[in-house]
Amino acid sequence: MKKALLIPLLLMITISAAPRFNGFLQNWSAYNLNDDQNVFLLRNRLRLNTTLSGDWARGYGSVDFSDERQLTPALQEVNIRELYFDLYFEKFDLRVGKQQVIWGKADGVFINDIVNPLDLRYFLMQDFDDIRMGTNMLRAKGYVSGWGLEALFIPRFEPWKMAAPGSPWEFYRPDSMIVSLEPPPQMSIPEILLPVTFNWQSGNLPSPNLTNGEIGLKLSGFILGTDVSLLYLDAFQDNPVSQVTNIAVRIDSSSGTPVPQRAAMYLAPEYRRNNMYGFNFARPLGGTVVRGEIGYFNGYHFNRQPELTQEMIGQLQTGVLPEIANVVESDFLQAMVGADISGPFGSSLSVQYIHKQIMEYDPGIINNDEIETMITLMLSGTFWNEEGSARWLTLYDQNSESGLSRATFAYKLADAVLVETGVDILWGEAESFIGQFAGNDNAYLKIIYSF
Amino acid sequence: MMKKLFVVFVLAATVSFGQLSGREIMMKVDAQPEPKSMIATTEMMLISVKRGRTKERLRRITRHQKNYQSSEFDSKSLVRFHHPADVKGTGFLMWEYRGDKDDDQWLFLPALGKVKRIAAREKGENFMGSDFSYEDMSGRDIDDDHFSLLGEEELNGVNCYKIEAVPIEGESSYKKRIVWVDPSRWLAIKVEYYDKKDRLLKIMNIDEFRKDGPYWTVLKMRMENVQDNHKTIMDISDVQYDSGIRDDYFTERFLMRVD
Repeated sequence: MKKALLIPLLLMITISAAPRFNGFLQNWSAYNLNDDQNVFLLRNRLRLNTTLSGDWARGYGSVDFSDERQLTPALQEVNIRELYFDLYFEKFDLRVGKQQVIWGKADGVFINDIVNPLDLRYFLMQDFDDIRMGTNMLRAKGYVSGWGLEALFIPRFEPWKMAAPGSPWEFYRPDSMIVSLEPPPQMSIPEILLPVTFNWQSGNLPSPNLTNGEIGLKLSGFILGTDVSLLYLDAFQDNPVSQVTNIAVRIDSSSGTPVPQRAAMYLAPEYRRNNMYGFNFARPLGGTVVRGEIGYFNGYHFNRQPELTQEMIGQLQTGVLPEIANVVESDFLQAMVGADISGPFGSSLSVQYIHKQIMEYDPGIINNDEIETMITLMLSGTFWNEEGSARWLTLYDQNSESGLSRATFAYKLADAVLVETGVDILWGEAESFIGQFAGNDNAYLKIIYSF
Repeated sequence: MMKKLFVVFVLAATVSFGQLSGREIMMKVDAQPEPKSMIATTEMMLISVKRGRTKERLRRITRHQKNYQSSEFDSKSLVRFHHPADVKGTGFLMWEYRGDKDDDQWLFLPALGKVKRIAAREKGENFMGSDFSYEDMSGRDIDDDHFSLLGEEELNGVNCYKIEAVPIEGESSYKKRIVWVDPSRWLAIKVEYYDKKDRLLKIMNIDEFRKDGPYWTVLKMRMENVQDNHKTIMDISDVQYDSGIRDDYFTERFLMRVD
């Protein structure tokens, strides 16, 4: 309660200006092109932003009031996107509260931009400021001789927000599956199959204490015409691994073969911690801006095919339930290099190449290749004195040969009224990140009134 | 260099008609006292007429600019967008250098929450959808054009020099410009812009100006694109000169700070 009173009190003391409001009203309807052109999204949203500003302090709040009745399940929510308080000093700024922190240079993909969790309830269909979710944190930034040092402390981990079961944007998450337990090659027993029950709800979030707090550092500056940043983040992985929580297998005494005891093993999401070291840069070369980012994760966690080891067989024979090794740890690299090429009449072409590599690759790792690459292309332009704009964006995952292509056209009916229409085409393998939504090709219309 | 946005300066000198060349006249327009810094609010009304229907759109920005006398920088400026609502808070930071070095430019988009490094724009591109291009707004170095005095012509009751400016150096989106110079103030009060095919493209008129200390301030100007039937009326207000803007104001820190 004391904390709840502190911020308004500080605001009242420090800020004498009247609050200012702005925001928008948006209607977003989408029609599934693969399903008899059914309406599968009808979302109305009011965004209300409030700002209180003074010379040495500022308060800001952004709230979305959403109503979505077409999607399964229906969604009515009040979402506080950001709510923070700034204090400005001579060489030092402090921001406390729920906020978004953007660290990356990439557009449309998240390489080093991983401070905030993602809202993937509409997959990548939302605007990126809607996909990135605000997080409660303390953020301090100091400035000396053109350099800025930013420090973050996030006391409570928050995971990604996923679409609910039944949603067309629900990630494929089986209730159960059969996995093979592979005995070591030197054992003469056959591979056995175990039915697996997933318990998605029982994943334990790290408890909110100081030890589980996340820490970030960013040093940024300007050298030889180039914007550069060095990054460090000690945090939990936003995408959990599925840890075996219970398994019951016994060795058949007559055959010496392991058999499922309870015909199930249980997997639950678990959040593991790692360190990320990153580097960003951007610089113009003539009419082109070259930019890139590299993130090196020390101790990234992946799911692998469960495996029986010699030791585990021994444990089974003594009646002890073994820990199945279905999570492996490896260093992991993500990198992006891109170029924004300016064209005539307000047009531009952006190209990005993304490379991901598991440094100590284990062939048993599920859903990840050792090296994965992606290409993005974005062609955009404005016309009619910026009354109209058009954009074509494509993400293509080379490994799974899956992709997303979006073409949009927007027209300003008036200063305050924008009408945007577009088409999303998705394709690729059903098991891939994008391809699993290949049935969700859609045409959409957004009407936005800004105030 | 005649590159100060929204501000035209004058040298209070006596005029002796008929004794100056085109270049000498433009040098007088160009050689004006320069403020150390400037803050101004600009409103641009964009007016289009299509099929007899008039459509108006408003743009409002504030601009902070600092000029440097002895530095690698020529100027630094920060533009903040206030209207329309969907771009409110957008910031544009530019460092201009002396000599041929390209400008450094950054754009802050509040909706994305990040600062983007951007390349110097094509000179012929429109500024914020208006009829002013980046070339019109930033002006050209006096050595980049060849000036010819075409004669004298009365404009709004003022006997003006009429000068033709033809690009000889650097890129330009125009074949030529015709400039009317008020010799009592050494102000360019009208400019005609001709496209590469030598057809009249745009006409700029200064409608209102005043003197603030040693500096002339343009308060109202019009740019009309006669080929597109589109025009922009620009109003400048709340002008402050030499108010002592901090150097670190022109950094990412303040680019991201939206009031």
